[in-house]
Amino acid sequence: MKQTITEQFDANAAELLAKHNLMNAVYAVLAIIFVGILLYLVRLDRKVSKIEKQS
Amino acid sequence: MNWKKHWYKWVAALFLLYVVLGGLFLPLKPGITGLSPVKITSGGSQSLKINVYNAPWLKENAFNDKEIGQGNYQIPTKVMLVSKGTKGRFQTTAIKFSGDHGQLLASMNLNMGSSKVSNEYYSVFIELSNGKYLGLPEAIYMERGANDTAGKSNFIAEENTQARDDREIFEMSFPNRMVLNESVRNLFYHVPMWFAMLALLGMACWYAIKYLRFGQMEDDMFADSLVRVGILAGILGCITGATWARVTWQSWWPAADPKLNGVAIGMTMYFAYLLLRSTLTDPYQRARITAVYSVFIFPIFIALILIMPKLSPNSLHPGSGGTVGFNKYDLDSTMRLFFYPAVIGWIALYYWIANLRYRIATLKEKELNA
Repeated sequence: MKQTITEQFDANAAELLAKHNLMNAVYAVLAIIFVGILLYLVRLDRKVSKIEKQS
Repeated sequence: MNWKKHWYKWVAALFLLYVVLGGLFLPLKPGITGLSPVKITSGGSQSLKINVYNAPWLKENAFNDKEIGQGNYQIPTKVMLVSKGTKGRFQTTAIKFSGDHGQLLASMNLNMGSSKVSNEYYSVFIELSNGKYLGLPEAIYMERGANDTAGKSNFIAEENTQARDDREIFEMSFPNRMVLNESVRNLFYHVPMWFAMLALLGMACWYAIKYLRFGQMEDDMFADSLVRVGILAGILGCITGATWARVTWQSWWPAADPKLNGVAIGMTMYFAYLLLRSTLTDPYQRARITAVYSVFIFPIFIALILIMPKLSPNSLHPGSGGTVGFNKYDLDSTMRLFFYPAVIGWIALYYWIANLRYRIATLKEKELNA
């Protein structure tokens, strides 16, 4: 059976929408925030260590 | 434990725990995520494939619901193509669905015949066994077939007001929107980054004014900590926004969006603040100059990220240009239950970090002076 281009597109779009529920984007965003804040805390930690060494 | 002193830390911890858990685990409402074909020519019997996300007829939803039509287990009874211009609808003759996936096959007779039906977009509605509807507005385009000009019509020329007025009853679940789908949850993680940034930079502006008024070095140092942590929130807002934009707007940085350009300029101004502060060595001069600078750039920053996008005709962000914002018609009530605590929680967390940074800076200052 030969599919027309629009039919193929529709089928692909339906498949794509079914597969990509975008939950990964939520995990990625949460991970980025977590890592970002963690890196900042590591930097603060180093500052504290420096002050501790000086005193 | 001094509750008065530590209250915002508890707010940060408890609110964010609630927001992260609830935001991740609460299910999305069922919704139509796709259909095929999206363009049809009338005439004869045709079948329509509809994908439904979190479909209420899936077997896992039937858990504990012994009878069909009870609890979460609902089966589709009818599919309608509802016309907007010519009031009326086409209806299914038969429906096929399976309990294993959310796909539905609707067969319908689509003869326009002699009735006056124009070529236009039709909204798709699925009627469920509890009388509720799943709908997707203007989802399918139908035009009159070449041979479909006379004879019997399947068009029901009456409006199904029930489907049109299917007001959402409050349910503890997130709305399911085309394009956004599950990523709607990012509202609790990406958007509060900007709220937190604005709150911290606003507070920094306040402390800068306080420094200029009273000349206390503590105010200057606290303002500096607030700006730095505010910039951290802004950078995280940019990266998370880019990630979200990649999957929904199909671009890491849609450059035509005035909100993004405004933020790029605004962030640069605050990077310039860091540069300015690092070049000045005399602490009093540094405090005065950066305080004045910070008081000046905050209103410009507000103008760039809040006012300019609002005036611009083409922003993708909600609440700017032609797109809608968080008023009572736009933000779902379940979303509100998590969004407001998220904003408060993230602001409290960043304020906490800024406070830590300030205390470390004071310690350092004491070491230098000792």
